[in-house]
Amino acid sequence: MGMSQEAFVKRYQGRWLDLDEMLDRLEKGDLDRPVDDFPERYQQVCRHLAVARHRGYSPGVRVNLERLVARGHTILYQHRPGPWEKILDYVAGGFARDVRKNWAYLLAATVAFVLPFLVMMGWIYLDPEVALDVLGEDMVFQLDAMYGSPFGDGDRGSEDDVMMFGFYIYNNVGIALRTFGAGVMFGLGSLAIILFNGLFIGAASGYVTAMGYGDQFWPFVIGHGSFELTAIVLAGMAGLKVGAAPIWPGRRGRVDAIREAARDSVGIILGFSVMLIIAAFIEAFWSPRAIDASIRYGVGAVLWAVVILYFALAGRSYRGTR
Amino acid sequence: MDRIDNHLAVETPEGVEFELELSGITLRTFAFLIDSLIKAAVVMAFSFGLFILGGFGQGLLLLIAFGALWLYGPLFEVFYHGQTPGKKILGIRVVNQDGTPVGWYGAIIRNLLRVVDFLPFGYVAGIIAMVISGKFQRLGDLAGDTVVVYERSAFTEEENRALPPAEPVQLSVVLSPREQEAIVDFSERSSSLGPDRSAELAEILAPMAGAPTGPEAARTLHGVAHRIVRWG
Repeated sequence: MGMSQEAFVKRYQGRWLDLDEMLDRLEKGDLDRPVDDFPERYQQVCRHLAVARHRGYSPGVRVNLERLVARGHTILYQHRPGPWEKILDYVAGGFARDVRKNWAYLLAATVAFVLPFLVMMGWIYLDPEVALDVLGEDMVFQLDAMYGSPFGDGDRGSEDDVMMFGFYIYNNVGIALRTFGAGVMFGLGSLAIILFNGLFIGAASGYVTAMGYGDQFWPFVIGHGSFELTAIVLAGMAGLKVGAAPIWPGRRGRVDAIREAARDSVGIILGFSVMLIIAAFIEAFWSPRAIDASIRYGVGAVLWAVVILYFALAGRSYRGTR
Repeated sequence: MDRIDNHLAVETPEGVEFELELSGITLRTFAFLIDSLIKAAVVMAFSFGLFILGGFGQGLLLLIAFGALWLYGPLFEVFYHGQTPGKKILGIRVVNQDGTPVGWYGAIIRNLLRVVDFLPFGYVAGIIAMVISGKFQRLGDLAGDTVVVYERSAFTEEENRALPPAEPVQLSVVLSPREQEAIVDFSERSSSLGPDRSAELAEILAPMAGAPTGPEAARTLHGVAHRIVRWG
């Protein structure tokens, strides 16, 4: 049966303690002394563990070896931070490709947002009284206060801009992340949030237009709306994708299908979060400026064109094996 | 060898297995509570300091609140070996299901899906998922392919326990490796078991080793253990 346990332990214990000490240093990131032979030492202990198992050595010995193997495994196969190129590649086209790949969910999320938006806007434009029921009295009052009179730079300082920036990040990115997270329940949560936002924003737009505040409202929202509304729809798209995975899992288990869809969504999540940060900048520092409306419409049109062209065209020439 | 307990076997590319000990619901709940307190305390502390700064301070405060709500979990888990401060205090950590340290994918997904694990209130959905999954995984862990495990303790001398002194006893039967393992394990642990429990267990083990039962059973088994350890 080969070497006895006692002889085995006696012969190799020194090496185990050496590896233990080396692991301590590696875990603390203390690399003053060389650790070049770490993989070799780790692999030797793996063999020792296999031998100890095969020969049925006592659990005590094996537990120690197992711990060494587990810790060594963690160090040797650890995740290494990706290079910046990866991020740049993603911004340059990977993000747009991911979105186009999910065109069916994008279409569904877009319809779920735009349809209630248009219906609600038309309805309330024709019958502004309904706004009281849909938006509530408080919201209607707030809209009156915000857009009822022209706002100039005079009543809003840069301090308020920073406060609103913080608020837009906290509120909008939070909503988008929730929209995605809620998708895991067969997409229902995402769908509900998207529908609600479409209804609500449509109702507000219809109301302020009907009341004649359009000259304040539309130049304000046109700019940041490009990034903001698109990002919310993308959050819904990713949520629907994860929600659909267990319904149509294909040739995988349902949990595996969710896992894969969630993994595929991480880039999109980071993408729409960054879009919302850009939107928050525009909304806090550009949109409220009292600049001639035609200029703001112009800038808004350019921003919409940038967003649409990016998702339509970016990354198309790439023929890699991603 | 399938065991019904909180162990998760991981096979390394070197072809050996090791086991991760999965953390239960209680520890994770406490870790969550500690993290919540830390986050609340940080936001509170800043709210006093930043309030006097007016709109600028309020903007910063909202950014900090956003960070506490959405970034705290993923950033700590990725950059701090799978541990938020609450998990660190309680000695548990998040790892991928294959035992490797959790990366961006796992950390982001498992933290975002809290939104659903929390439903309808107080993490009920998450707790149900943990019970059903068999690996104590809430929905975020299932989708993120992660598990929460006990931290590996350092290499300990006491695991290499000594056998109680006894003269090696000649084996009268051929023992399988599993049977040998059971006897040596019993012998090594007997000093921590107390004499009564030790005798009780010896009664069960003795017939397997072909040893007589009775008051001397434990000592005979120690002898058998010495024989196994010395000559295999």
